[in-house]
This record gives sequence, C-alpha cells and structure tokens, in this order.
Amino acid sequence: MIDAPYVAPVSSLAGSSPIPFRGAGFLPADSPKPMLSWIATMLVLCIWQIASLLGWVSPTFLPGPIAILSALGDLAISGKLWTDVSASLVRILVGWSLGTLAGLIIGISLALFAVARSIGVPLISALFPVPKIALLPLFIIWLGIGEGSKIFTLALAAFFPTAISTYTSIDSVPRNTIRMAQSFGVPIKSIIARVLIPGALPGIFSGMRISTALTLIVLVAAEMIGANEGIGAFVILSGTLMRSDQLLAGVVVLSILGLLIGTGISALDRAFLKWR
Amino acid sequence: MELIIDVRNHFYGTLLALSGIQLTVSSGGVVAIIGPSGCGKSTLLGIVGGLLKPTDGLVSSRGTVPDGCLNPLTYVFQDFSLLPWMTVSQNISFVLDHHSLSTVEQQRRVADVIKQMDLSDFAHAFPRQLSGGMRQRVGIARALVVRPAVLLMDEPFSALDAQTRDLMIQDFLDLWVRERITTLYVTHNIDEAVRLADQVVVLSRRPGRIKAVVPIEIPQQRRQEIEFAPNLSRLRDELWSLIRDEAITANREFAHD
Repeated sequence: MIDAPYVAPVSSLAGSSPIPFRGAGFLPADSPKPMLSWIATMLVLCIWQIASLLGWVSPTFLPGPIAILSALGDLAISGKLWTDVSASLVRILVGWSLGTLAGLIIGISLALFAVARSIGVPLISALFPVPKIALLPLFIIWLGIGEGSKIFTLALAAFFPTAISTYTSIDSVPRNTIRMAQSFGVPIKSIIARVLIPGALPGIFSGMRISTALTLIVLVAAEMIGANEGIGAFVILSGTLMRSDQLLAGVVVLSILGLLIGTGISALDRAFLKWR
Repeated sequence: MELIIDVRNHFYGTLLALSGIQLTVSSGGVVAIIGPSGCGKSTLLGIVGGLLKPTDGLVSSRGTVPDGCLNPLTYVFQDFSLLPWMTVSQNISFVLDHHSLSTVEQQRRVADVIKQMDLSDFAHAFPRQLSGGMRQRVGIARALVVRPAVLLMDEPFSALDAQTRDLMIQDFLDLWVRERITTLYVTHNIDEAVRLADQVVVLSRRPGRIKAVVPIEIPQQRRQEIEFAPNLSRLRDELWSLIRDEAITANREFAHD
C-alpha cells in the first residue's frame, strides 16, 4: 500500500510554467444586471426628452416621451382610447381564436391521416408565405367592409402557423412513446389525447407565439385600410392630421398589447408545461 | 406462459434481417438473446410482442396467464419510454386507465408496484427529476402493474452506468426469483446474460440466425457464489468466442439502419 500519492512537493516548481486559464465557454458568466437595464432605458428616454425640450427635433417630426404620455392620458380621459382598444381587442380575440381552432383541427388531421397530409401539406405550404393582408381587398368584396372581412383575414393569419406547428410537432413526438402505448394496448383515442397532443404542446405553443405576432401585424394593417375604430385606424388618422404625439401614443398601446399577449402565452406555457 | 417463436424470414425492405429463428421460451424461464449490434435482436423482440409484423413467421403462446393479468406480453424498453408530462404514478396508471378496473383496485395496484420498486418517495415526481436507474424502476413498475405473463426486456439496463446496472440486475433477479415471470431478455452484454438467463441464445450477425443455444444450469440466486465462479467464467469465455468473430465482422460492415 502506498501512503502518499506521488506528487512532488510544491517547492520544486523550478523550470515549470503555469498552465493558463483558457476560458469556460461563451455562456454569460456574470449574473444579469437588472439595474443596468433600467438605467440604460431611463438614459435613452432622458436624452430623447432633453433633445425635444431643447428643440433639436421638431415635435411634429418626433415628440418627446412626456408629450406622448400626455397624449395617451388625454385619450384615456376622453374615452377615445377605450373605444379603439376594445374594437381592436374584439377583432383580434375572435379572429385569432377562430384561426387557432381551425389550425389545431387541420394540424391534427394532417399529422394523423395520410390522405389529409397528401392533400393539405402542399396547399398549406403554398398559401403560408402569402401575406394575408394582400387578400383583405378580396375578402371585402366577399364579405363587405364590416367586421367579417377583417376577422376572416385575422383568422387566416393565425391559421397557417398554428396548422403547420401542430402538424410538425405531433409528427416529431418520439415514435417509441407511441409504440410503448400500443404495447400496453392503449386505444388510439387515448394515444392521441394523452401522448400525441401533450407531446406536441411545446411546439404548438411556440406556433402560437408566431401566430399572435402575425395577427397583431395584420390587425393594424387591416384597420389602416378600412376601419373607423381600432388602434390601427387611430394611428393612421393621427398621421393624416400630423399629430405625431397621438400617433406614437397609439404605437405605445400596440406595444403594450403585444407584451401582454406574450406574457399571456408565457403564463400558458408555465401552467401546461410544468414537466419541462 | 410459454412462447413458441418461429420466424422463418424477416426483411427490412430488401434487407434480410432475421432468418430461421425457432425458439421456445418455457414458462417461468429467462431466455437471454445476445449477438453483435445490428443482428436483429431488438427486431426479434418487436416481432414477439406484436410491435412488428414478421415477413414470414408466427409467434404463438400457450398456457395460463397470472390472476389479474391485463397485458400478457409486456415490454420494458431500453429508453424507458416514460411520458415526461406525467408523474411517476401517472405514468404507471396510464397503462391501466383503459381497462375497466375499479378506482380502488387501480389505486391499489399502482401503490403496490410503487412500493415494490422502492419508488414511494418519487410517486409525484416527473421523470426528468429522476436518475436513469429510477426511471427504469418506473419502467419496470409500469410493466408489473399489468401482471404480465411474459416480460420482453429490450436491453433494459444498457442506458445505465455500470454500478447502477449491477444493482438493477440484482434487484430484477430478486423480483424474478419471487415471481418467476417468463422473461425474454435482449442484451449485448455477456455478463448480464450469464447472471440472469437459464438459456443464452447467440445470434449471428445480420441476417440474424441462431448460432448457438447455451444452457446455464446453475440457479440464478447462487451465481455470485465463489464455487461457481470457474464454471461461469468458462461460460463467459465460450459465449465471447461465439460472438467475437461475428462482432468483428459486423463492425466492419456498413450500417444499414
């Protein structure tokens, strides 16, 4: 038995050279710095505000943050904000829900049935890249200038990413888990409901992130083309009147709406995907 | 339950994977199938359990099933095949849900196997929170909960590290000694085969044919005893020499999978 390991005493480093530290990968080593983020944001806003106070940029060209906030406040008090926001919310809620529902149904059918796949996949692949807003004029001819044509366009914008993400994520559920279920005699209906769909859920949720972002874009564009109420209509009207402060107040509302939708999906994610 | 396996030919496309496999797995026995990688061991197990249709062949069973048996031929998978969104107890009761057991009976069965496999502390954990060994314990618990007549084990411990594998083999042996469930056990590990099997079936490289059937007469519980060490060592050498050349040749062929 050897008592001591064969390591030379530290006194004999003569003639050796230390091995340098060469890095530990590119992952951020430091903890995130939330204070820094806040300071940077405030700094940008301050510089912006000072620039507009000193008259470096004309208020029509780019109003300062305080002017935008006060425009937002005025809109909230006059009630104009709520009519526009609620009109937009109804459109996006109804349109997105219909499109998502149809996308889920079609996506599941594509994943499960070879016939549906042969017919559907080339069709969907061909139509997916078409900017849906380009079809709004056609839908206006079909359905009139009212809510129907806008909601239909929104539904279409939500439909494609949902159908494709549902189909591909069901398709990529590991075959082994399906074989496992079959080897225990689990009926096909349970395999769909308890293996395929839960396994596809993470992919379906990332599809929803895309579809909500797309519907928001299409919503604004559709409201700019032909609507009396709605945030998009408000933004384009403000532009025509050269009211940049109101215009940007509308943009702020849109960005808040986008953030809220993103947070909502993250909450869904957390609630349903605890197991990850 | 006894299994009568007769797979004359099995093709993957135009590639002959298995040929002339005639084999009887007698009731209460453990038959290990070993062979070089790609020899069709797992394919054979898939055919036996009805997950693959043989091109030309038939697998039959004879005899009675245990009381309360819900799924006579039951797999334990190499990758465990747990559902990551279900807890341990949900993963186990998942394979009972479509049977018309009373809630009480179902809960009792699940609780029994959880206790039997030492999973009580983990009943509500998700698979990702478990080590590989614990995951396969869930896999075995899920197999036992249906009271199988035959266990089809597809390299069940090969994804585990050496120490864990050793412990799992011992545990499985204790279980098998208690319950004597007929077992067909696919492995590439000669040591595993020699510890567990009554009979070791050696397959040749592709197309897999039966190259030898080597019986091991020493009772499983006594194989760790020193007096049998020389015998078992000789057996290991014999099995190794049987698959050595096959493994070397198979290794140098193109992979077709």
